[in-house]
Amino acid sequence: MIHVDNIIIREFRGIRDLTIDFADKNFGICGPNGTGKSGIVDAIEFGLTGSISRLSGKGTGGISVKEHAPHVDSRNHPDKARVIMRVTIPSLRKKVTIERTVKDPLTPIITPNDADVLEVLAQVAIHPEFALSRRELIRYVISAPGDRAKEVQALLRLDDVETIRTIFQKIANACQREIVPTKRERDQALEQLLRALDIPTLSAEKLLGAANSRRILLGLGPIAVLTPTTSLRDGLVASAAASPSSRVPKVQATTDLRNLREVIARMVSAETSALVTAAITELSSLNSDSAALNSVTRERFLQAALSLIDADACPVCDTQWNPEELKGHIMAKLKLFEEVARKRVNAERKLEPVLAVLTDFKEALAVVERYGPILKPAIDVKLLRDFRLSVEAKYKEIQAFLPLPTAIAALQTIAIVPANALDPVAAIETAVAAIPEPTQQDAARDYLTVCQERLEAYRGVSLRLKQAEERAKITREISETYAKVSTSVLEGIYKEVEKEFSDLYRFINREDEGKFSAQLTPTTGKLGFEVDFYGRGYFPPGAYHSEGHQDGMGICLYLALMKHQLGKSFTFAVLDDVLMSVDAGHRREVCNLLKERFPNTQFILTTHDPIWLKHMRTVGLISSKSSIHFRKWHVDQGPTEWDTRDVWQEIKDSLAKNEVRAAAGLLRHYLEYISAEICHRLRAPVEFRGDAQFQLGDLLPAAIGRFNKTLKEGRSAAESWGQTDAAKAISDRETDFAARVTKSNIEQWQINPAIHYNEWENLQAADFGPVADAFRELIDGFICQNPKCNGLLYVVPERGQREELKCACGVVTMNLKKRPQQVKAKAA
Amino acid sequence: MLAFMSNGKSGNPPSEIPKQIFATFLDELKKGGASEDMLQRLHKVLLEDTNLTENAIKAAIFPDSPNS
Repeated sequence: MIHVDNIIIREFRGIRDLTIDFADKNFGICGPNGTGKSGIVDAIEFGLTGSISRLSGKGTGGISVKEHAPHVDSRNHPDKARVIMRVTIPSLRKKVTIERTVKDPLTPIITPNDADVLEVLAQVAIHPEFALSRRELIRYVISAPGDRAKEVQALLRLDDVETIRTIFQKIANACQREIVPTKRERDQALEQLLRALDIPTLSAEKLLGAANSRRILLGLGPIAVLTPTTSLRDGLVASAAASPSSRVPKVQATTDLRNLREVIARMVSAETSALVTAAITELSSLNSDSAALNSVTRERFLQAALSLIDADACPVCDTQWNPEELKGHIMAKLKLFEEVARKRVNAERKLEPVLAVLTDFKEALAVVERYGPILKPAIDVKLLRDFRLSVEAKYKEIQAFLPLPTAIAALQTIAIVPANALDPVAAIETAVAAIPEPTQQDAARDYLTVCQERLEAYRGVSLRLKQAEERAKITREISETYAKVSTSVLEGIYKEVEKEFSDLYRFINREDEGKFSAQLTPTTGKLGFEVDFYGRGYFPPGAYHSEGHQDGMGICLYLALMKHQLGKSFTFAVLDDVLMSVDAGHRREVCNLLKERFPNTQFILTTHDPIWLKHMRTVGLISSKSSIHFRKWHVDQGPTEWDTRDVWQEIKDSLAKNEVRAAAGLLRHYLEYISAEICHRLRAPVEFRGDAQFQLGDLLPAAIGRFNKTLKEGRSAAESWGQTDAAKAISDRETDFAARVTKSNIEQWQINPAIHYNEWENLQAADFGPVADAFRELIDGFICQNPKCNGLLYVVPERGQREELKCACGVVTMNLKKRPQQVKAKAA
Repeated sequence: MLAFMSNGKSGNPPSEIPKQIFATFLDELKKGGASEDMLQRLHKVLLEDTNLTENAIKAAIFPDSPNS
């Protein structure tokens, strides 16, 4: 993967023009809320992936990268909104520049665009989880098991595993569903065959017995064995074996007519009426609840949409989508309809027996209808056909379920037979009855012909049923095998993650939860997560642990997952204000954790809390130069950081416009900021405040006092070592610094000798100018005078005996330790 | 100027864990007596073409089905 060297951000989010040099190292970004920190995180994500999660993920309706990533003043110029990143690919030992504009986010300019470089960057692009905010972090911890499984699987790039599981399951379900209607069809074919054979149940013996008795009448040899290809008409001459479709076989027609009458009786029976009433009640209940009705419609629509997703586009509007994202989107919507889906399934179950009776009815009508035209004279069956078509239409309306009023209306009328609809049936009955009784031979011929036709139909549908059952069996085995294998592999993975997570969490909580452990339990499509609570058992993370501990769990789980997923390639992560609920002590431990356990990962950390930034420095997670501290944000300028040169110029500009209030406020805030920095760097003793709300009066005198003491210690040490020149230089610096202090004190005394700095804003510009100059000179006293450095002096080490005062460039290196012998002599 | 941004799954090589699962799954199917032809087709879809769509997988299981 990568390390980030620097980033240039222009006209992007709240940023006008900003360059940050990460120098391939961990980096801290600090500033109050709304100063532009997250804009940098967005820029990093955009630079590396071409997208911004928080502008394109769930719950961002109406917001898009294209429209809202540019600075508000450049919203009509997406070409101006650009991010340029310089990254290092350690595995290739290559430096790469990526330049991307919002206008064309998917076609960055990559230099060099070598194939191996593109391959690495493509991997980065499919891992947008390198940027983690608290919102995302907590999702891993306190989300529902099904949602957590999705989040974790996405992070582990396991989406494909779930995709295939869903597809196998879907195919298996579809194959299973094919069986029921095919079985119904087979049952009907069987019923018609039995009716033709005039036997109660089907067996080879009974079938052959019935067929052979007719064959003997015709002088044909009996069939000994019934095979799948046996023809009951075998041996009949072609003309004699001609289908009776050109004439009506009296016996068969009589049976079919009798069957129709029986089915009609069943249609209007009390039993069927009860089934219909129950179905109408269920559907009416849904229909009377407008919200439920609306939901049923939507749920059906979403189910249909889900089943149609195959390409990279919405099946409804053709908008380009990642299929998995689209499925996830629709599934999330479907979750809202779970209750209504349950009601719908119940209602559909009530309809099933009604549809079965209707199927028999329309089939029986169709069979009899066919006799009309071939009777001599032919009988007009238009009324019967119209009636049959109306029954079929009602069947389709009921089966379609929606719209509900249509389905209900169809149910209410299915038992109603129009007065003259069955007139053709009566006419056919009369005509069939009038057909002369066939000779035994004719009857036998008709019998064999009709039975063979129906046997073939039965064989065909039985074969289809067998194939459907076979398909269902195969797909069920595939689906079950896949579920077993994937669960087993995932269990292994989650065991490793669970171990790593527990280890990391124990690291940051070793003082109070040194025996902590956790359980990640995958089940199909879900991931349970329970944690030990002080040996009292395993509970969901949100049950007893504080919000701060949950945040700690979130980052540990994230780190464990990333480590498992990327291994040595986990070289870069952005943690966006992820520990806001964690107390100071545990934050320090998180710093230690990141530094010790992830030494090869470059972390970019944002925080609104300057104390947290200091922890990062103190622990050595970031160096003193690897941070940026924003002081404010303005829509015209974007974020601005505490930069000494800018501050003094800004004060000067304000005074030039006679805006003393603004200049005084800025000086006050800057002095508070810089005094805290100086105190920190010189390890100055400051009266402790539990709320960490230190004022200028608390800080600046402490800084001055500590610096004076440090210079004095340095001079004494130089003298103890006989370093006359060094001692003289320090002495000069003491004199110079004392003059700066005096001047600033004099100015303060002139303005308001009593206290504070609150009266500054009452001054005129001419009076305030010297005040600002005096403080500028005072602050300069704490700074290395090398123009290339100008950094604040600091004491090392950060804890224990103070040994040296120095600056970042090395020009100032003042030893603070006296020669040992003299120390001893003095002690003696 | 080249695009490397691609979050689409279809057509992208699956990461190591899905690959491992797919391979183990095919081994298990083989042990269960699945037909060699179907195994080859599933191998192609899951591990070679990585065309992880319902139609492609249906066609791998039932190549002669009119719906596949």
